[in-house]
Amino acid sequence: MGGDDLVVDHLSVVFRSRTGTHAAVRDASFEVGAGRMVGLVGESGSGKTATGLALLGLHDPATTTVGGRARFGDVDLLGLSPAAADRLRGSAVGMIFQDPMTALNPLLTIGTQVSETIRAHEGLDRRAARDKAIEVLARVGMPDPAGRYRRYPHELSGGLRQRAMIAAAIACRPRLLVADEPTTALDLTIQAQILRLLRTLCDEEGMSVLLITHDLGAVGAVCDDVVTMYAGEVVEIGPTTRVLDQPRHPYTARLMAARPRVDGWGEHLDVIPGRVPSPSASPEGCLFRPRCREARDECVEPQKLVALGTSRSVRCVRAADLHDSGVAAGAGIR
Amino acid sequence: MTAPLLSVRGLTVDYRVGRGRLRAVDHVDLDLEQGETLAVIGESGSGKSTIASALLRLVPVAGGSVEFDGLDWASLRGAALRRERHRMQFVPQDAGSSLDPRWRVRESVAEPLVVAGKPLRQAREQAGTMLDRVGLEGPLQERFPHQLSGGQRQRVAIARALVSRPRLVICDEAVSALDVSLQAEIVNLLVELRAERDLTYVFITHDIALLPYVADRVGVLYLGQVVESGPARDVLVDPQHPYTQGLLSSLPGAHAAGGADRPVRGEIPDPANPPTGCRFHPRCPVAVDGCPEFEPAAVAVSPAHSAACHLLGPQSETPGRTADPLVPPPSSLLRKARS
Repeated sequence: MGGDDLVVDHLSVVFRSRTGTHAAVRDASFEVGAGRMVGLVGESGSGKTATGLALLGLHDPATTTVGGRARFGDVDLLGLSPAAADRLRGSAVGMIFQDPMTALNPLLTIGTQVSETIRAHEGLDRRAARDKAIEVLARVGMPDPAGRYRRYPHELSGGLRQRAMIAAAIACRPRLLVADEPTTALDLTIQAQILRLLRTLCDEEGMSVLLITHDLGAVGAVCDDVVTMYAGEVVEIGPTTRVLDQPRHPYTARLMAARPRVDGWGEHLDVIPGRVPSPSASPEGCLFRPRCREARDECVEPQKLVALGTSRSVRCVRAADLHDSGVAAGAGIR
Repeated sequence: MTAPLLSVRGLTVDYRVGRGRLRAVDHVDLDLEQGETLAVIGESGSGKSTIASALLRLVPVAGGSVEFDGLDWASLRGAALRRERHRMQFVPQDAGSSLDPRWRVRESVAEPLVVAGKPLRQAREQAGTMLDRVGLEGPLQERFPHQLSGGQRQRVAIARALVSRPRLVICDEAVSALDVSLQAEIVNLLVELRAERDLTYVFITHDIALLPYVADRVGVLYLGQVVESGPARDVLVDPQHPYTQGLLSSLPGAHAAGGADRPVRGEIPDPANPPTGCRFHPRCPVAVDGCPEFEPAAVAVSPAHSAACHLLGPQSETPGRTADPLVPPPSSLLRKARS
């Protein structure tokens, strides 16, 4: 089963409002290889959610301009008609969000919502769709799937609701799943279970997953590759183990260093001073420069994403020198 | 040695559910010295927040005693309780919903002082100084909560808790909703303020990775009961209870820290209907025959560190994680489950 690659090429997302235009994503290029799990990380305001929504065709064209290209296999994700995008979502492309309570319909049972997807996309009759929905609920680790089929979202715990949402998303065996902060609101125990489930689905169904998260720990636990975004730009791309063990962009390194570690006795949490700039007040040159300890004169120039070897790229003019001086303050996640 | 600042014995809290009763906190003992931080960890539904509410005297206590700052805290009532409330304050998870949206944040911070009888002008001045200290300066103090970011609102909540100079501050998931960098800022601020103002904290969190930065001691809570307690470092480096071990294994990067790869499976059961015997047995990877029948008693593994698990016994030669799961629990340790 040869899967398809997701190729995002010079993606831009610009919000228009009465006060002007705000570029939430600028010139973002990255790939999600078939059957791979890629983590898209950054703080609030980094543009990671805007990127995910653009790939799903969920931005409102009345207020948002999406530019660039995004191809999944031979489908041009950004050039679809609304009807074609609708058909694609739920079949070839699935999605899950942070808060299943708002994404699931409170008035319909879990089972109805899963079988609805199946009927809409596969044209099965009610009974066949029901049997298949129960099968899918079992697949995502829902205890007592036939019983839970008749339950409403509010009757389930947060973890089980998230499983139900994953079931609805994967019911039609999508080849790409976009998961936006799927574990952020959950207990660590349940987070670990859900991440493992996504990894298993990725391995066993050959599904590609784009995991959008602010938690580098989650990325380190399950993702093959990492894409770091800052203020709407992609600043670092590479295989997870190498990026997290030896981040080359100072922002990735600082994100790593700010994470609490269970063996961090006697240490201080390393704060990144300042805030992500708003799209309307971006600094000149490197966007991270005002918060960066490593900034030099040359950082006033706009930075390009430069390839380092075959599988990594970094948007930092100092990436090569920082490699030797050990900017990697945040090793030890794996 | 002086008496601990907070000493809780047999704390029990019941909620009424329909016709029945839900025991949210079941005979919990806690001790906390002045200047220390006690972390209370556990999943949603473990009773963490109910302990906070009970200590703050916001829910009725069904049993047990609380001694705090030389007072018989659990039996204070009415005006006496109101007079002493300033000694124990609270930082919530979501300051956005705990601040009055119609008040400028400086007014919210001044409120506890005004309630305590301070003249308005003096209260506002003190609130301003307190907000300066937590890093919210100048015009930001005159804003409404919705005009501030999540991190800034959390600073307001801290200022509001500290302005009346409490002895003990309860932080209930105070940094859980924040981005990693903001979380680091707020944790560092809390640690600085503790030293500066000689504070004592009860730090409630589900994130066990924060413990090295804040906690001196830790209590691990499961379905209303403390299953393991001790010095934070001992508990994290050498966890004794399978639940604590599972929490550590659930952390991303657990392998690097040397944890056994045994994340907790399943979900926390309904507290209205807790499992018999050891409440953790349905999720426990090393449960043995007796576990569903008998409730384990706390076993001291060192003078300050104890855990309630049948596999920890003076009889087993190698206590703890290495105990053979096929050996039944030593019968001398078993006591009949309370009916």
